[in-house]
Amino acid sequence: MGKTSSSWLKGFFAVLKKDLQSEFRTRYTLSALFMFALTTLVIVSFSLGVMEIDPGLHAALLWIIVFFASMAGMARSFVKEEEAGTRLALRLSGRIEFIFFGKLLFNLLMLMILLLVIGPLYLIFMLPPLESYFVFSLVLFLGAVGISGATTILSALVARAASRGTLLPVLSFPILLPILFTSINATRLLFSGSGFGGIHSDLLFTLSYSVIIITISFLLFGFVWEE
Amino acid sequence: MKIILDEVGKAFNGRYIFKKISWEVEGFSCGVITGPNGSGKSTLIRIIAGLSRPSRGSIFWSPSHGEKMPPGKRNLIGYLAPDLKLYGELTAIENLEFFSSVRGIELTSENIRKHLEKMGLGEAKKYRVSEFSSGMEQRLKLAFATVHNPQLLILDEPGTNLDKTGNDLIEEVISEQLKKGTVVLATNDDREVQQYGQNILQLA
Repeated sequence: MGKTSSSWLKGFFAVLKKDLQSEFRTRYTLSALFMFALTTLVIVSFSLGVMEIDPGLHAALLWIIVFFASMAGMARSFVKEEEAGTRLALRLSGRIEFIFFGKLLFNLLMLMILLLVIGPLYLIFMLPPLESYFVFSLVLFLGAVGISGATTILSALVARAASRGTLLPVLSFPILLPILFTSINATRLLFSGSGFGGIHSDLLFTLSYSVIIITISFLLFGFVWEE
Repeated sequence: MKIILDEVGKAFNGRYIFKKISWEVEGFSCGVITGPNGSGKSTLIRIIAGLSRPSRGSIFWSPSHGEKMPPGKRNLIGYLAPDLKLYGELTAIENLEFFSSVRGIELTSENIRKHLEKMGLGEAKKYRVSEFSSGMEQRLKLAFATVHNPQLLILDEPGTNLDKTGNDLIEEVISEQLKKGTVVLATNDDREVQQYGQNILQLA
């Protein structure tokens, strides 16, 4: 049992380590994520910066930036395997669970790096009223888990399609809608002065939905990867 | 490992590339697939490797049976083909270390270094693969196919881009493999067909 879990962890971290090595040498994913996120944030801040904005609009703008930036970057994890022709070697060697969870954690890490930059920048540029930075970080983190969970399998699915760039947001949107709604609602409540008590049901829903999405994605990943 | 193809056929968009191929390759022997371009050599190689399903017929790997090789059993196979690519942004050592880890095989860095030296990549092992020449890349693919001591070695046009010493290396790898397992070779090289061709499958 111990040997199995140690080999499981080794395989899983090997995929993550390889993707990180590859990412920090090529910067495919981070460039795609940051280019979109920073451009949109600057446009939003220049156009709305001087206006008094409703907390609901603040929350929606923030999550629109996060959603589309993640769509621009998340697909890269599988698309680059397809473009570089390395999918075959990975298919021949890698166990499905190593590949799925390695890629999932890589996507989550990339999204967390993006949120670590975009979250504070949004607060600085747009000045939404916020009392609890910790709960705000928790909302962003849980949203990122849900987005990564759904986009990992979808990016594997669209990686072989010709119009992969446009397919991912279209396929992801209906699946991510519940997470986006609850995350936007939780963020709106936070920007309206609520604390953890006011949004805990939203957080619980996001967490449960993410667990369900990740479980279903893992169960279906073998079909997507092997066929 | 013994391989049995039973009336195997493969169709793309309803058009059969080949139909009703029955062939056997015994353990500790070499089977050679040959035929003109477009005859389906690489497609058949992918079916034998368990990477693609036949449109008709069955394939059996003995002692493991089944029409589609379960992903976990792929450690039994070493595969080299023109469409196989390794990670250009990683070094040769990093590539082999990564693939060993995701195969769940314990290989020390020393073992991998020795294997790369045997493949003639001793000097280049720390360079990124994107800096490799096409011949060096082919040698690295050969290292990828053999580093885990597979029972079945599948080679599709292994001599591509290789010089004389590279082709000698292929001969050495095949003769070593035949002592411990099976080889399936797809080639159009008459010399290779004559050298290993005791069990030839000629595709039309």
